Formats: sequence, C-alpha cells, structure tokens
Amino acid sequence: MTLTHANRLLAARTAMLAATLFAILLFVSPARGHEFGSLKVAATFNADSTYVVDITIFGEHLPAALRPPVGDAPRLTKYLTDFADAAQIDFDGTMVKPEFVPLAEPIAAQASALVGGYPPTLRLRGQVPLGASTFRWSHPWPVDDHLLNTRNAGDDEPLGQWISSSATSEPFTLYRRTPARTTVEVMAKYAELGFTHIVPKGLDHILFVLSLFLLSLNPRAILAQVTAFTIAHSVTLALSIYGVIQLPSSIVEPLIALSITFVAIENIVIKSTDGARPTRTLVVFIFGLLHGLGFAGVLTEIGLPRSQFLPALISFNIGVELGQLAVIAAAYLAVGAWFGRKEWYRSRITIPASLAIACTGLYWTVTRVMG
Amino acid sequence: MQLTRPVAAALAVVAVLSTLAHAHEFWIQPSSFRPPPNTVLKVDLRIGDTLPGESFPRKGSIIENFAIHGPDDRVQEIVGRDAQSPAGLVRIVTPGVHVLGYRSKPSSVELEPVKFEHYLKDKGLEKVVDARAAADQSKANGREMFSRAAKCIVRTQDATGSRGFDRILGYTLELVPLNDPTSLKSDEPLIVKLLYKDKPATGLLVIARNFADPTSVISARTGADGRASLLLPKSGEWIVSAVEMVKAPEGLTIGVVKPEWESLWASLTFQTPDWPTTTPTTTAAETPKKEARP
Repeated sequence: MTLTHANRLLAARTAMLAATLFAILLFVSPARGHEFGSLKVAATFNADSTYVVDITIFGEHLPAALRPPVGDAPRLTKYLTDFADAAQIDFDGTMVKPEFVPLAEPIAAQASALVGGYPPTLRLRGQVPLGASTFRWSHPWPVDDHLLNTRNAGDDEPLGQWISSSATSEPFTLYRRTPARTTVEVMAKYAELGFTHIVPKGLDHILFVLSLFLLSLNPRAILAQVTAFTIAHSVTLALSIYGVIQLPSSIVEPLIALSITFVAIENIVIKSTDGARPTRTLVVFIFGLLHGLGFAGVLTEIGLPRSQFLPALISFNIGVELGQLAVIAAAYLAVGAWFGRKEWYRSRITIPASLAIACTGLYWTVTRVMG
Repeated sequence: MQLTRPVAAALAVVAVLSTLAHAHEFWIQPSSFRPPPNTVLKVDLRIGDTLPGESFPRKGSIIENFAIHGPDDRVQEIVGRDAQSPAGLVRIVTPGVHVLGYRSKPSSVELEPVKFEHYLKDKGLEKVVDARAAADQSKANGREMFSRAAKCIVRTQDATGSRGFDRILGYTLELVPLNDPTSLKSDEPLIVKLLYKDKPATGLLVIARNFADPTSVISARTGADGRASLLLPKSGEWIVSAVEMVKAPEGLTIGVVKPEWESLWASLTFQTPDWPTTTPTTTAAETPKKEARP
C-alpha cells in the first residue's frame, strides 16, 4: 500500500496528536484504572459488518519494560503501533489483522470524557468476515487481568469478561452476524475484492504488470510471463494464507517495489524478442512469489470466511487475475494497438516508460525500507 | 516537528487537568438509597477521582466479601455475573436500615514518585511522605498494594427505626457512623468512627463529598478516639472516605509489583433526609486541605 506525501503528513500529525492525547491520559489519570488491571478493551460490532475495538492502557500495571514511554511523542507512537500490531483478534478461529487508528478526536471531547470514564487510548477496526459468528480477543504481552466488553451495536449493555493475563477470551457471539452467503455470493464478493486490489488500489502491482506488457507485444511473450506470474503468486498466496510460509510486510513490501524496478530495467537492457525466454519467465515467476505474499497480507486484513475458505481464496485470486488482464487490455488499447508496430515503439514507449517505472519502484523501495 | 494547533491545545489541556486530584475513590452506589418495600436493588461499584466516577464491573477474583446486613441481623450475599455492571443484585424484603458491604482482596500498583506523593498529600498521608523522605525514598516510585472496604447504608421507605446503621463488618479499615446518617438533622453533625484492625484509627483524614455537588467537600481528622465530626452543608447523597497506609508485609509480590506500602481504602455512602434548602450557618464547604472540626 502506498501513501501519498499528504497522507503521510496527515498520518504523522495524527500519530503525534494521538501520542499527545495518550500523554494526557498518563498524566491526569494515573490511578483511576487500579482495579481494571492494565487494559480495558471494548469491542463493538456494527450492523454494517464493521467492528471497532477501543483499548485503554493503564501503564502502571504493566511490567516496567512494557510501560508506555512518557514525554516522547515519536516513541509513544511507535509503542502504540507495536501494541496494536501485537493484538490478536479472530473470527471463528481465523485471525484477522485490524487497522490501527491513531485517535484524533476533538480534544474537548477527550477531556470531557475524563469526567465520566476513560477515553480509549487506541482503536482497532476492520470488517467482520462474511458469515463469521464468533469473536475472540487476546494480547500476547504479559498484561495482567483485564476487562473485555463486547457489544453488538444496539445492545443496551455490553457483555463483559475478565481476561487472565494473555489468555484468549471466551468466544463472543455476533448477534447480528453477517448473513450466511451462498458460495456464489462469497466468490463474487472475493473476486471483486481481488480485482479492486489491483485496479485501482494496487498501483505497485499495476506497474509490475505494465512492465511485463511493455517488453513485448508478442502474445506468446505476454502469455508466458502472465502465466508464470499467476502460478507463482497463487502458490505463495495459498501457502501464506494456510500459514505454511510467513514473511513480515516490512520485508515483502520493499522487495515487491524492488521487483518492479528490476523488471523495468530488464525491459531496457534485453531485447523485446527475449520476452518469451525461460530466463525472463523465471525472473517473473520468482517475483510472482513475492507478490503473492503481498496479496496474502491484504487477504489477511480482509479475513476469509471459515465456512467458505477455499472458494473465497480461489475467487480472490481470480479477481486478481482479472485485474491484471484489465491492466494489460487497457494498456494495449491505449498504446499497443496504435503504436505497437511502429519502429520507434521501443525507443519512444518501452524505454522511457520502463525508466519511469524503474524510478518509481526505486523510490518505493527506499521509502518502504525507511518505514 | 512543529507543533500543530491540536497538539498545542492538547498540551494546554494537560496543564489544566494536571492540577486535578490523583486519588481514586471506590464506593457502593445502589440504584436507590431509599428503596420501596420488597425491591430488587442494583448494587453498583464505582471508582474514580471525581464523582460520579465509573462503574466497576464485578470481579469475582478479588471479592473477599460482598453482602447486605439487614436490621434483623440477616446476612445475604450480593450476587451478580462476573464482569458485569452493576456488580450485584439483591432483594430487600425486611423493612429498616440495611448495610451493604464490599471488601476486596489486595491489588497492586506502582506510581511515579510525583504522582504518588501528590496522592499521599491529597489523602492526608503526610506521615508516609515524611517516612519516604526520612528513608531518602522521595524520588522512588511508590510501590503499593491496596484493598477496598466500601459500605453503604440504605433505608427502606417503610422503615420505622434505625437499628443496624452502626453495624461493624470487621473490615481492616472501616468507617462506622455513630449517628444514623439516614435520619440526620440539618444542624446535627455526622459522627463517624474510623477503625483500623478493630481499634480507633488516629489522625487520619476523613473526607465527605456530596454526589450532586462534588465541589461540596468537607473534611476532618480523626481524634485519639478515632472519631471525626462532619457537619454536612446540604442534604442528599454523600460519600465519606478515608485512607490508611502502612508498610506492606515483606516478601510479597502482587501482580508485577513488590509492594513497599499497603493502603486500605474505606468508604461509606448514604443519603440524608431532605432538608430545607438553607445556607449552612456553621461550616462552609472546604477543600480537603482545609480541615473541618477535628
């Protein structure tokens, strides 16, 4: 996922604000949470199948090494991010990766909330997987007993439970659970998710596919590369989703960016007739393995319905393929069909476009490595 | 990074809110202090620096005692579902004055020195501040185990007497009213006796706060007989509280803390009869720092 400069700036400011708010909580309510233990967690499940988990951290009850740093906004932000990353949420036994939201609600509202209760320190949110019926929570840090309140939107009172240390909570039944979908509905939904992950959301994947397209308009060359890419990312997507292989996104994402640069530069240094050669196909296959891990990261965030795991996985993959084919079709209609047979196609289209893609990939590589 | 306006505003809020008290009260709040006959009372446990505080769900693992004592000496456990608020439910059948009691097992906390000493002074525990200074520990974190002893007096609407209001429940630190707060007159001071291990607790700060007007606060130190006199400036629902702190037993570890100090928190909640709204002529509302008649 690529952030624009404006988005990064907004994220940085939001994180700074969240850290400052957290400093308020540490400073003005140091002792109120005594009996609550080190955490208070409130999970709400909405009618639109989204969920929100608000977490309040009472640092005094954590071991000294795990207490939130005070007076250092960047370290606080990192602390909160690490805390959010470690949180474990599952639906029907399948782990999901929620989105971490640095809280930036109006200061006045936060301050007034101190009177009647604690404002949450951080928030996790996401989409309840289709057909899911139960929710569980745990946090692997050595937190002491803490309170988990769960509530379906519209319930008068939350259902509470005390969680011992880092134990997993008892399952909470989603009263207004998302209706069970037919296999066809599930496949359509996940195909759509796969497609939109390429177009328009996956600019890095789009550039990679464009690089495959730019080298040669020879259908055999394109088919060989796309097939290699498809097989490769299908393998790693499946293996990663089933937990056979796992690589952190901090490694996968920069490598994906680097793969774009590599293929684009290769477009410049090899001949167009080499498009169907085994070495090029092998390179694309290897990079396809990487992209599959990236797709798996996205699919983990979305979650897969336990009852329709395989159809959802396959249809997501189909959606990804359709997205890639759409990119190639659009590129062909925009450029290839008009100028593909021109003598200057390589010098005026392939090389400049590949150069631009290579630079973009390099920029992403650096920014992703830098975090 | 340059401070944004919201961050600057947040820091300003810190500056204001940091002046607030850091101590944390714990009390019993029933759904009614004057329940009708044969009613099911919801018994909420509340915690907070200021009223109305926050509801504390039932935590069975730390409850040592949670019961209601009737005027007929009948003791009835207050039942409830773990992790739910209110913490308990109980049916009151017998007319009269009932005493609800909650006693917790110890928990622990470790506070930074500034916060710890602030709360010690807020609760009138200067003796602990002095002891820390004498041991050159003023800059050390406050490692503390603490337990709660909350009492609440309810008077049924069909009550005719005051029997049982001064019931002693045997808590380590316990507030015992010596006159019935549920039939207190406007010019009559509330006399409470503070017991520590069944003996008068001397020189401790007893603070009374009005639920409807949390700024209405009066306080007094207990005398040699453990008594404190509080002339409540207005009628209504009140919480009276006191804290004692002693050295913790050696070698204990509670949670992640090896406590150096043990605090005991006592509270008493009740509702006075309704008095005519008049300006009190004797004791004005005072801050905890300004002690009323010791």
